[in-house]
Amino acid sequence: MNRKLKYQALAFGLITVPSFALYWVDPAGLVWGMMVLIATGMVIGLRVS
Amino acid sequence: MPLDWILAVLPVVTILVLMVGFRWGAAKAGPAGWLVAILLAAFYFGAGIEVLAAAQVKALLLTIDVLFIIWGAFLLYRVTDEAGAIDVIGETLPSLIKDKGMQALLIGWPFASFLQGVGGFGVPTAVTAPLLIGLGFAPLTAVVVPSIGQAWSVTFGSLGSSFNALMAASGLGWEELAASSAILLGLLGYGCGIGAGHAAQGWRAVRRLAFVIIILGTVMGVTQYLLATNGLWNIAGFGAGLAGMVVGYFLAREGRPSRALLLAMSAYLALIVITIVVQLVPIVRETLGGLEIRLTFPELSTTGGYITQAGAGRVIPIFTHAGALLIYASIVAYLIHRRAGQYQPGAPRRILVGTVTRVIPSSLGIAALVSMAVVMAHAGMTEALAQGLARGFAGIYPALSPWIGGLGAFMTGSNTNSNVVFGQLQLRTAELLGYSVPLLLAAQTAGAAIISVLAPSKVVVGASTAGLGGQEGIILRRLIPYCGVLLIALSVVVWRVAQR
Repeated sequence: MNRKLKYQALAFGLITVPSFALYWVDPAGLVWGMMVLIATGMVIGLRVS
Repeated sequence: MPLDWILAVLPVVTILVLMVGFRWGAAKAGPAGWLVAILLAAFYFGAGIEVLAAAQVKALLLTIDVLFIIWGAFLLYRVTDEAGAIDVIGETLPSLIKDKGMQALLIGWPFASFLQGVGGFGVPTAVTAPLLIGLGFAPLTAVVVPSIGQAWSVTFGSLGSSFNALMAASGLGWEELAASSAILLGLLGYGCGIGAGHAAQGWRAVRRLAFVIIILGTVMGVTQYLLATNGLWNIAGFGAGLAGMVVGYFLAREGRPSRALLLAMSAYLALIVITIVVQLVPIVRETLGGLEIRLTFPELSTTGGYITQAGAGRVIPIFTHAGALLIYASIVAYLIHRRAGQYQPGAPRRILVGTVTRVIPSSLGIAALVSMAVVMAHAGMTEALAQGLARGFAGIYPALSPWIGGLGAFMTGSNTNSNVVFGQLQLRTAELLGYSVPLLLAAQTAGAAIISVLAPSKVVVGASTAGLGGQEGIILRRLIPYCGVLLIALSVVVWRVAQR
């Protein structure tokens, strides 16, 4: 797996895993953190693709 | 309000400019569109963190729904290709149907429509583009032909899921909606056949195949109409595609299929058999359909007062999902090819690594685009867009209604979602302006069906299966003229009928 693909996989993970976690974790406490993770995934996707 | 409208359209413009103007791929343009949408939703449209978070979770469900099929389709393709079957199909099919235009037409129109009928969500292009490349068509042509060819069958495709959404959103039954929808889509079918023929080999092929296009268009359109208007709307798209394939085979055959060709086609034959059994045999469907992913969400409201009703997100039936059927077909095909001794040592690893390598970039693009669309819908941005269009063009609304359906499909990536988002809006506007409700709802779903072809998430699927990853903008440029002509023709027909 090349470097670009690894970063794309990381971005995909950062978008999807916190998205699902949002449903189960306590929104009041962790929702901002999850959204920051998702946004980080989007920025990595934007940079490496 | 104009400012609402201009800001609501900004994420869509961002995507269009980046993909069409700058030729960015969806994996890069998607996150950019998402960032624009989320900033506008939060800071202008009043979507709080709860709305954004719930929208993101719903987007993930939709993403899984779409990616399940893409992963399955890639796996099926890799299983087939690793056995050398794609090469065999490419080498032997021309001897069975000699006319290259006819090959493209039959694979890209009735066969793609059949696949749309049973699977949908990008399966037709994902399955047929590699076949067309194997037959010697350029990758770009191999994506464009089935994309255009299957557009007319999207509404009644996926076993009627988009038509079902239209009924759910409008509260009307099939008795009121089926006839007008089937007629408009049936007429579009001829346009899709002409478009597929033209995309394959230009106007010369269209003139040469005019008789076949008329026959197949009539057979498929009438079959769809008869099934839909007799309560069998869930198999109207599937039945029409199947009828087209059978009639097309008898029109085109010039020889008997060899054993090698049948073996090479075994993956696709297995897919057809498995799909028919799972969808149409109740005991199998009920046994496998027990396990599903279903999440429910509370009512959500922006500070501007836009409300999203409480309810379940996208429900994913794990074992009867179209993606699961593709995986079953992959397993069956793998066993058949292995028994025939067609794999070299290490084939399973190469199949899996090849699949993962190809799906990751497209998965990233789809996750971002679907997230953007769902955030827009929950922030009321999609609603603002549609209402602005309806107010600004009240006098010519019937001609505009297919474009609203198309807008929803472009943004959400699906005919079904567009019908959910805009079905009620089209119904209310038709009532207020005094137009026929079934006609404008048919225009909504037909416009959405055509433009769903251009939805970035579907273009990504086609690009990935044809080895054109990162060149989605080029595919989009090639598809836009065909979809534009079909949509304009549809608008004229709806406009004329609405005036009567």
